[in-house]
Amino acid sequence: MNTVTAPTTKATALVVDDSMSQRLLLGHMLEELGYNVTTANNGELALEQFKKERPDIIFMDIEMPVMDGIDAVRAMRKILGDDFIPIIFVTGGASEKYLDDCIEVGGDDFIRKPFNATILSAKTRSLLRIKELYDEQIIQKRKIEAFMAIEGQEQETAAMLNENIVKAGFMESPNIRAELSPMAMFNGDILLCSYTPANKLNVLLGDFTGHGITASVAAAPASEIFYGMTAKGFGIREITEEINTKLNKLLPPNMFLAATLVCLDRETHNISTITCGLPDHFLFNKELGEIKTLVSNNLPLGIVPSKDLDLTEEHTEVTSQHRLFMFTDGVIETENAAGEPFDFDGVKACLTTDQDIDSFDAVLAALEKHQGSQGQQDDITCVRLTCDFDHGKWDIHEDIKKVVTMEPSNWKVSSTMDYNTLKRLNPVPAMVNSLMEIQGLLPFRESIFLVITELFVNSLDHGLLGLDSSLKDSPDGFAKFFELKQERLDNLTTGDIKLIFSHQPQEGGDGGILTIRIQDTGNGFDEQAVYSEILDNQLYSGRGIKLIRQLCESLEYSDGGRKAVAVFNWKNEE
Amino acid sequence: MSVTSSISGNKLTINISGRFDFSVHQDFRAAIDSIAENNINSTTVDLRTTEYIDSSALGMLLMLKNKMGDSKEAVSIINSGPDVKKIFEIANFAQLFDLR
Repeated sequence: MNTVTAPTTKATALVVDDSMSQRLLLGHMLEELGYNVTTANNGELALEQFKKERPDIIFMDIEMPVMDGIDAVRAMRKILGDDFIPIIFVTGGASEKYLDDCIEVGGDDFIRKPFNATILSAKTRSLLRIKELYDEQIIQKRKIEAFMAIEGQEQETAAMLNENIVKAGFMESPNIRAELSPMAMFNGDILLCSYTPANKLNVLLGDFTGHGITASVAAAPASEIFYGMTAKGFGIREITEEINTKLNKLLPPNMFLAATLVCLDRETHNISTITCGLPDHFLFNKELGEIKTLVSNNLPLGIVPSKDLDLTEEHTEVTSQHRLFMFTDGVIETENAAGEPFDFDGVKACLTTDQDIDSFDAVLAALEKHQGSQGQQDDITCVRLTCDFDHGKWDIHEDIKKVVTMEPSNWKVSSTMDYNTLKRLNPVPAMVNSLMEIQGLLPFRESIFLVITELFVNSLDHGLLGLDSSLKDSPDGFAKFFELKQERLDNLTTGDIKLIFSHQPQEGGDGGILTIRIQDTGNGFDEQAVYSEILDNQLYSGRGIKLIRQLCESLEYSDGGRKAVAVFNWKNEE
Repeated sequence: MSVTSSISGNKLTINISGRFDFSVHQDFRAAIDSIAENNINSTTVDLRTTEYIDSSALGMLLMLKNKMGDSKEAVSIINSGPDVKKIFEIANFAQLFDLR
């Protein structure tokens, strides 16, 4: 029940006194001052009247039959609770001894008999003014309370929705250990993690500007892009560009996403990173104690259009002893009691070659010790990516064993990518997807993806770009190779790659034959040389032409390496 | 913590003292609100007395850049201390602003 009334032009005063003459006198004076007056001749009647219709101010005698003024006021205050009605006790003669009780039960002021009109007017006006202020306050307070209750509910719902979207494609990986501690219900930090069809592990660590709801609204579109594109086999460069494009359109100019994208590839034992505005990361070799610092090379995402974003991708060869430590700025900026930040040195000091000590635990413990009783000051996220290729869910996509439902049929598609297209995108995921759409070859997606990727990479690297794969033999071979590849790709001014896919049913069987033809306009390459090199190098023996031969029925190179035909047979499993 | 600004001709200078974070965003907004009406074509942000900046400060600088148009020379950020410089480095803001 809301008993707070807006200030009216004519306030009502309730006069309570057992003496009729006193009631008449005070009532008359108040009417003269411009107030409405109601009266009661004892505390009990006053209380009844008070319950029926709230006055704006009460004048209360102390000693009365049935119920005295003290008890009446005590009862009224109890009913009023948060609400406020000024109560003035009328005193005089013997009743002065009750003054303490009057204050105790909630009287606001006293007025002495005989009444002085000026004092009466002043006291009444000032108390009514206080009531007016109080009423305004309480109306606002209740509005805020109601608003906060709704707000709280909505936040909870939104937080749940957000969490569901961000977590939707999240694949728990034993290679990832993360510590996320949100400051508010919403977190400005995001960690996304998923495997591509070729079983590469993609990871995104991000930190949106600010905290709370505004910081996390863009988490949903960013994670949808990440999971969607990872599932389709896109690389982290394409994913980064796509997220940047989306955020650039979506976010106001003062908001952005500082992020790092990582791709861990078991086939090449390579870690690729694109760093966009997060503090330094550390790639630590647990065995040798070496620390490689990965500094941010790019603008945060969502600031400039993707065409102006000249992304730098870093490649590093790793062993199972490598761990990548990544942090958002909350970690580095966490202050101790003296106001000093935790800083990079605080992190580095915790990285140890002692096999009995978990460096990640050490960082967390040191951070907690550093912040002491200060408590957490920002969203804090710490992530460790262990480059362990022997354990974990590396073959996660082999679980897909759905049977093709569409009858094998005859079809043929072809596409040609010119040098300009090849500079901008990796066409393999999109092509594999369209093959899946046509024939529904999902159970074989993985194999088909690998075959087309290898054919395509050979045509591009050795055909069009003329790269020598023996480059990969040197100590930091892959990194050099990638660097040179990027350089030649940037300078490419001619050439194209054509892919032709044709499909036909198996004769008399439940299955089909997919023939993949690829040709490029490059100078060709010696496929035997590339092949034997791969055979010599045990580390990469899972790759390249050997891999295609294993997966396909046949593989023929012709025209000096410029043309290749691979035949892939498939059969439904019973 | 305060933001002071002065205009001379077509040039706006903004000084931020103390912490450059969300707490000054209204003052900062007010300082850059008059850019269009005063035909400002160059803005200098002087961080000589700035102790600290965070990502919302980066956001405010982007807002300023947005108002000033595409040219990298339109906004100069001067007198950054080492801690502040590090933050700009991480964000690669040298691509967007004239950092001195």
